[in-house]
Amino acid sequence: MNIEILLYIAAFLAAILGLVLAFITLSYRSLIQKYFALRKENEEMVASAKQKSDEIIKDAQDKAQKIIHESEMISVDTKKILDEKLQSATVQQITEFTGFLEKAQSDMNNVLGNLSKDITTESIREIENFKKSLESQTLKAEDMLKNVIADSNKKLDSEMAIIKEKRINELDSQIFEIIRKVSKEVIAKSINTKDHEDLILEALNEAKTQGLIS
Amino acid sequence: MQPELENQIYDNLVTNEDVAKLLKCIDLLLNTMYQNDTVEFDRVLNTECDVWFSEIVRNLDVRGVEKGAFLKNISKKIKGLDEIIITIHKEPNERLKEAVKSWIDANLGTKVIANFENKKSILGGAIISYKGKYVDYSLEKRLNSVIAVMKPQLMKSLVTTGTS
Repeated sequence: MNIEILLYIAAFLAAILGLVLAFITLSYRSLIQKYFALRKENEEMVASAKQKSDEIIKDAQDKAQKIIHESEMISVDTKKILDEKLQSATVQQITEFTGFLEKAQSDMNNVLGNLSKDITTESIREIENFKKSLESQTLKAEDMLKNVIADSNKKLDSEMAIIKEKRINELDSQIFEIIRKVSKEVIAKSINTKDHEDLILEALNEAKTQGLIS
Repeated sequence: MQPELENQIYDNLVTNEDVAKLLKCIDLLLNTMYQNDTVEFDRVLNTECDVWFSEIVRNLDVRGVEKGAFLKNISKKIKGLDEIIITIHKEPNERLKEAVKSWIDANLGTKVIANFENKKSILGGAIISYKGKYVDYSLEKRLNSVIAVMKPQLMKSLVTTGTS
């Protein structure tokens, strides 16, 4: 039962597939025919355009040859006139240019002359200003230097006084150290053992007299 | 303790060095006595102690004085003796020690010991210190006093000489 149904279905599908293939084949054939018709039409249009362009080029060549011929005919006269005009214009241009140069040089000389005067005047003014400034600064520097020297002198005097006092004290110590040393040496040499013993006993007696020993 | 023995000991003690030597001798003798070593006792007496003290100790038995008690007692008394410190410029000789001893006996009594200290810079004389008091009778001090008096005049003459 099932197999039969399947066979029917398969036969039906095969019929449909056959119809579809026939339709595709017909459509393809129609398309090929259109392609060939268009191709032919295109080739005809290209050939026609080429023919037209060849004609246009030929006309242009003819016209050009004609124009060249005519221009050669008038160039001799024209050149003569043109040379004369050119020479005249050149002379005029040179004259004008020479005049312009002379005027420019004159103007330049005037400008330079004025400029030189201005520079001189400005330079003198600047130099005067600089001179004044220099004088002012010199005076200030002098004052400053005087103050510095005065301060230095004061400081130097003060330091000298301290050094002097220190040296005097050192000298004082040295002198009296020498005196003390010499005196000690003299005393040590001049006092004999008996004198020393007497001095010690004298010291003991003095201590008793003073009330240290009781 | 018998006073004459005590005084005899003080008479022989002049300086703190004598005291130190005697105290060392007594300590050694007491040690030998604790050990009942009579041979060592005699050796110490003959070699470590002064002759005068050895004689005193040897005669203790004759006097009927017990040695141990005597030595302990004398050691204690010697340690309590007053001391006068005498600073002098060099080591004292025996003559000076005797002279000072005589002076101390005459002025302070026998129970004061001289402690000599040396200071070369004092030149001569003495600096004396006794029972917390101190006085300087050295030649150095006298010299400094003289120089201090001379100083202004000397400086004046130096300045005058320098400027003339």
